[in-house]
Amino acid sequence: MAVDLVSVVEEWTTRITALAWALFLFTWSVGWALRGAPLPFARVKRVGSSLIEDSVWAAFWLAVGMTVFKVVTYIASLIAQGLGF
Amino acid sequence: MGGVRVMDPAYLVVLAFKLAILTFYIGVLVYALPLPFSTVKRWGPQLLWDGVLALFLATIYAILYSTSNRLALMLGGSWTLFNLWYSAALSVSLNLKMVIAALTAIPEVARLAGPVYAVALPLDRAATLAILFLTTLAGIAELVYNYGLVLVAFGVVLYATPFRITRGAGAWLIAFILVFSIGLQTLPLFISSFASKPQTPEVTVDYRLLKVRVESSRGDPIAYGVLVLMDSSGRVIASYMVDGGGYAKSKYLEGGMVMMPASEVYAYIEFDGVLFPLKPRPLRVQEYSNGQEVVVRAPHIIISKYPLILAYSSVTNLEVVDGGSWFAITSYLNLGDFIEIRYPKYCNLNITSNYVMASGEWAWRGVNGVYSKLNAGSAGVYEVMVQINGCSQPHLPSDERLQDYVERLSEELKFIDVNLLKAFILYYLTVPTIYVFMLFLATGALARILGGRDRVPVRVA
Repeated sequence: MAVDLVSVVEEWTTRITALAWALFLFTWSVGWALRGAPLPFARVKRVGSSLIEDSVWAAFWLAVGMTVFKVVTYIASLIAQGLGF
Repeated sequence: MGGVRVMDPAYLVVLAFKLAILTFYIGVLVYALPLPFSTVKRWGPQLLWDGVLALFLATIYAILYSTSNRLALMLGGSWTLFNLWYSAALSVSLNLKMVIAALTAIPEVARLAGPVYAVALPLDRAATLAILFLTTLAGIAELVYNYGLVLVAFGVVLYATPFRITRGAGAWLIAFILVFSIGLQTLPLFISSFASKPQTPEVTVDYRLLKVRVESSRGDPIAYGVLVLMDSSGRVIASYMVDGGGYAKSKYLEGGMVMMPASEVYAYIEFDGVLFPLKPRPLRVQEYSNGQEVVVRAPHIIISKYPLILAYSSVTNLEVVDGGSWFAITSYLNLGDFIEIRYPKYCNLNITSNYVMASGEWAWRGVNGVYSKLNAGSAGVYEVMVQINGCSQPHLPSDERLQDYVERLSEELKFIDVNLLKAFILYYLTVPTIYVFMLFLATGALARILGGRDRVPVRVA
């Protein structure tokens, strides 16, 4: 049976979203672990904070994602209306 | 479903949407990766932004496409305009090629044409190039016209593929359709503002080279007559001298061929100052192939003997006895029918008959002769007996004012000159090529605007 490309892409999107959530938690924990570790290296602590920061951004975009798409569609429809389509 | 749906723009756009979202979430995933390397981390915002942009494009692709068509209309172009220009250009090029092929097929014609022949070869090549170029252009136009929306949608799909793998290709495809749908519709406007259309008269040069034998009703060659070809309205198209074997001959062509227009002609033979219609009537020259032998027959000519001895009648059912140096004609004639004998003055003939014969003189193409005519006073059987006593040095008719079709043809081709070549190349090759080149440049530029840097942002080292 032929596989529908759209459903394949959808499937992958779902998987990647789930993986992204999991990775966010993981990275966030690793980040905090590094940051809070009793190690006297400033470098390690800096890596830890950057990991936390990135993972928070990831969580932010994951949460905002749907909203972003809505906004884009809205702007596009505004343009369409403006041109009279 | 898969394969068939690829040509459906709605499906392609849904796919592009999904791919854009996938790209976006891959970006998010990269953000979330627990790897503190900036080379990897850089993909994150890039992919996010790519996803949003692709989504935007997928939403407005139909608007882009119809805007381009609207813009073309506003500029004064249309697909009708393009198609009209294209078909006119193609027919001019094809016509020119056919004319030149006809011209160069016969070296004799070419030699006669002189300067025309010198320009013919480059013009032929230019016409070939123009045909290739025009048909390619028409192919592109057909693609843009029929599949424009699908290709834009397909471009958006390519554009939305994660990691910018086919983003450049997608951007180019979208730009190509947009630019060419405007550009091709306005192409005739551009060309006509920079070059004038070359003037090529509608010349039909379809002809046949045939061996034509002219015979009397009994199959004798009508030696040294003049074969005259007329069109249906009685205008002379061509005339040829007939040789001793009864074959029409041309001044320019070898192998006993004469040139005739490939259309219906009415053939006549001019002999001893009389014009006789020839059968078949009309002669459908287009039905013969080059080199074929055609026999045309004069049903009213009873006897034609060398030199220029002629017996003809108003009727065609006669009894003839031909003894070489004498012949006898017997026929039932009605009132008004006649039998006439014509011969040149340098021959000595004895003509006897069972009825009184009128006589007189004739002159034809420099030959002077005598005729004897039997006019039937009442219905009955009439007999004419002719004895040929001999001829002195024969004087043959002159071939002055004969109209060889080769001459007529080369006269009609006089419009082929250097100016035509120049105008043709400018109008059908140079200006359109410049224009299409500009369109490609514009496509590249628009693709760059749409796609930004189309480099895949994955760094290995």
